[in-house]
Amino acid sequence: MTAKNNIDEKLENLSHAIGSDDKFVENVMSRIEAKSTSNLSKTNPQNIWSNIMKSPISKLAAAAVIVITFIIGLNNFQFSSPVYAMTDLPELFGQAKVIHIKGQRHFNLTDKGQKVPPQPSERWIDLENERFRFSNITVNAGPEEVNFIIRETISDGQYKMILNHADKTAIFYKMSDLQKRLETNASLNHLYFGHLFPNADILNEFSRTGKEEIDGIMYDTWECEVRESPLRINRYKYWLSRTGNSGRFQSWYKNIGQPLKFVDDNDEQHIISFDDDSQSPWRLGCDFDRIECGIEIPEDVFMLKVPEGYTARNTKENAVIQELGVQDRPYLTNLRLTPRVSFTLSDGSVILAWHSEDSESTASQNELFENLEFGCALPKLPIEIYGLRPAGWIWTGEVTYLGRHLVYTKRDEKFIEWSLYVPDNPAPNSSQILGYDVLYKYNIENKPEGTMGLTVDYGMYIDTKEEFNKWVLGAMAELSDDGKAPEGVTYEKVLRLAQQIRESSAN
Amino acid sequence: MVKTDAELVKAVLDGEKQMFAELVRRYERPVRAVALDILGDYHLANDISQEAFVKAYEKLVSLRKPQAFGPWLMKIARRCSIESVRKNSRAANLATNNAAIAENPNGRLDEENQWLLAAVMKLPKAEKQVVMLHYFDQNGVRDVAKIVGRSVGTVTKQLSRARIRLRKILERSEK
Repeated sequence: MTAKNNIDEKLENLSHAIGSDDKFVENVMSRIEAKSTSNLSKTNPQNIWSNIMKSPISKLAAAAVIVITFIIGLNNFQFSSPVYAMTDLPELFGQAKVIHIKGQRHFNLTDKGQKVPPQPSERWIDLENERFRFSNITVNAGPEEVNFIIRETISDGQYKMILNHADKTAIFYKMSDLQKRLETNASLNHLYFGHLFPNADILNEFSRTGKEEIDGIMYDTWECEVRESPLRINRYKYWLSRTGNSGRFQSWYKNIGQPLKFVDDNDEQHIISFDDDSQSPWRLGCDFDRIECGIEIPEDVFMLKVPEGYTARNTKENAVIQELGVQDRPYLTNLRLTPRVSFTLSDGSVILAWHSEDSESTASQNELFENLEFGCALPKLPIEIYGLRPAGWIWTGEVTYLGRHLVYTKRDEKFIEWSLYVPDNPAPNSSQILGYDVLYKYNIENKPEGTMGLTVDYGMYIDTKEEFNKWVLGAMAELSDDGKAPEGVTYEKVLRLAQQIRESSAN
Repeated sequence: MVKTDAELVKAVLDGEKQMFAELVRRYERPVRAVALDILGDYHLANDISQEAFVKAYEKLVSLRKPQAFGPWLMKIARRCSIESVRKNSRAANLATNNAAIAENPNGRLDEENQWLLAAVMKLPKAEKQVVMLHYFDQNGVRDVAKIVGRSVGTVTKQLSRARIRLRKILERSEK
């Protein structure tokens, strides 16, 4: 061993011995935050007032001192205390170990102007213990009536229970460590971009518009209007106290365009009706009147107890680990296409794991994956996800994500393709909430007729090497029989490939 | 894209408080190393390291040369550690601590690592910083160069010199 290597090795051992603490950054930032808050309360005029009143000086002298000190106090307050703005929200949420929001979603669904009742919406996230609880609302709007199917997912950090409030059933799943982390993180992501904002950039659009008091706390009100599409404007209002407490969130929307005719890839025409009156009223979209961070968690919030009158399909004891992305989407009886997990990288490209098979075919997929190299064309699976595009009909731009092969894993005899999709133009922020539409083609002789709509999630946002190693490689390991990620896949290598694809598509 | 210390410091001073978290992440191990060298106890060093970062944050506005954040932070960590030793009535408490640590092998560096850490601390300021960023925080040479605002060539030379110095110090200590 050379002297250089010897010292290198010793220093690496020393680094390992010094160690790192997962919570170190969080702890430091919390201590800084706590100090900021305590500094704030030290300069709070009320405290000054109370201290002064305890002073033994005469009333007259006290009055003079009060006036002078109060003015100084106010000046200190204005110039040295932290005053939170909307752009601080991610940080405020990020420091919280527990987040709870509760409110209502409003629906204005039918052309006939049917009134449908608002639906309750609530989400709990315990980031420290990777537990969560939330409800999903599926809306079936028929010509005469509107039905809601509410599913509730509750995780106690080991298991999750999905309650279907429509058919009154419950099912349990065990969760792997990766799933707990992925789903807790996804829950936080949905809180930002599902419940509250359509994207992160919107926080910069807010302006302070006034002050309002709720339950004895004074909040700054922040508002903004954003044109979501040529047809629709959204308005947002957020109540944020200067000490960083959230009070309430409301959003409204207004349709301003003409009826839209939409022609899909098969020349089928769809008509989506809108108010053709640009003076149409603002409609309330959601109203969350409880937004709480760092609160005590009530005992029963994450308790997995099947409600009375519900049928349990299994029990915790015989629950199995749900594979990532198990929601098979059978298109025809023999053809399957299953997106398993997705990640969006800092440069906008997307890593998607997917599986496709023809259950009637006896041919092994081995040969499709033989000789595939990092960055080459995708394997010719029965249904091939050759690209992605931003989901949602509101997107009028031209962005296509072109796919290349990264690696594959194999789990329970199934080949799982890990592809990289690189956008050929800047992607819209709407992807954060709407995800990506799948562009697919059939690589079989008898192509089925008709089309299917398939959307994949934005997934977890990855912008560091550490996150890539933890989440992406972790997911690859979980979807491998040997529990290991394929060798040679690194964050830098993937970003380099994305850059090469961008450069080649620009030329 | 790696940001320099100076860029991060400037961003924090401009109100982007969350950027300080990146500086904490970057210097977590180097600061703990400084504290560990003085205090000997991992847990105490961890606590004092946090305190050093909080102090650095509070005093950031007084940092005249943002590019010198690393060495400046090390000084604060050193001062906090020495202050902690003083506060804990040195003789009695350290003896107690060491007894407790001896029973807890995870709480203390082994002898070889103690020597090596002491040797790293004896390096000239610039070399110490690049060694810590390269080895303790696992940054590549290019990233270290970017962080400290020096050329890749300079950082490579500093690392090379540091290795020679460390070898000599360790050889001397072994004699």
